[in-house]
Amino acid sequence: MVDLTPEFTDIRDTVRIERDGTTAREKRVSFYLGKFGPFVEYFDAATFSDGLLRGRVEALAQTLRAVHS
Amino acid sequence: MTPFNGDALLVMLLTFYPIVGPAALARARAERPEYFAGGVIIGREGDALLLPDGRVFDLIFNVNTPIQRWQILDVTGGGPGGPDHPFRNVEGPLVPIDESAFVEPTPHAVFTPLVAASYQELTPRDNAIGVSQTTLTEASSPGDLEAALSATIDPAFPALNQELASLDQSVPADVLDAARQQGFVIDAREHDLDEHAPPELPADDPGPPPSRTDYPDVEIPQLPPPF
Repeated sequence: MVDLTPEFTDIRDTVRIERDGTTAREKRVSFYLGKFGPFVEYFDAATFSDGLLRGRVEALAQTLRAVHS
Repeated sequence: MTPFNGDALLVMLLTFYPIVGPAALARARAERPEYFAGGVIIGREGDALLLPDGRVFDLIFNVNTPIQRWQILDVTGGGPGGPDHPFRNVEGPLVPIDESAFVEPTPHAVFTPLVAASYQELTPRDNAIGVSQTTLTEASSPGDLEAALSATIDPAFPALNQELASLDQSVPADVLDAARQQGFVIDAREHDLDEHAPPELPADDPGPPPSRTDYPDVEIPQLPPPF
């Protein structure tokens, strides 16, 4: 069983500049899953939640389990 | 910049982009650029990734076919770490120049004897100039200069003191009164000119015009039109 324990290394607020000049606030999350990574995921700052983050991390972990099974 | 990790890139593509293809790869490159570590999408089908260190990865197996799928395949042959130095210079046909093949010229003392001879010629003149300077220095005594000044030019301080004393004694009101009196002496009013202009002299007669026989008519040739 491969170790896929999440290790968050950096969470920061960023601003994304769209092509039309508008901006959108984001959260940038860097993490490792065991020895794999780094993974960098962006979330909309207005709708960011722990559940959303956990769901995306778990989706990546499931793929990793499938690849290394 | 996030370091490149092929496993993370492949897992991200497998997880969030289930529809495989160059379009999905381009979308992933735009939405999650951190996984691509500054690499660019290349290839005729847009299915390969060129990293800044020169490594190239084929990211789609059997692209644009029904069995295409995500993969991470290093096609540069450099192994997992890539080549040691992807931009290393190759050996060329040019070699450094052997400087020992060029014999340095032997210096010839051309100017030294010329300078020495000229210096010898100038030595007696230099001695004469030195004697003349000594004579001038001895003859230029400051006592003689002061005696000549006192005999020809009056001392400045008494004249200055006298001028300052006269200024102290002057009253500005007197100067103003004197200026006011000038108005009665000088007539500053406006008058018409009391003089008459001299009569105008007649213009010189240029004489009769010359006869046409002196300047016969000359036929001027007609030039062709410009166009």
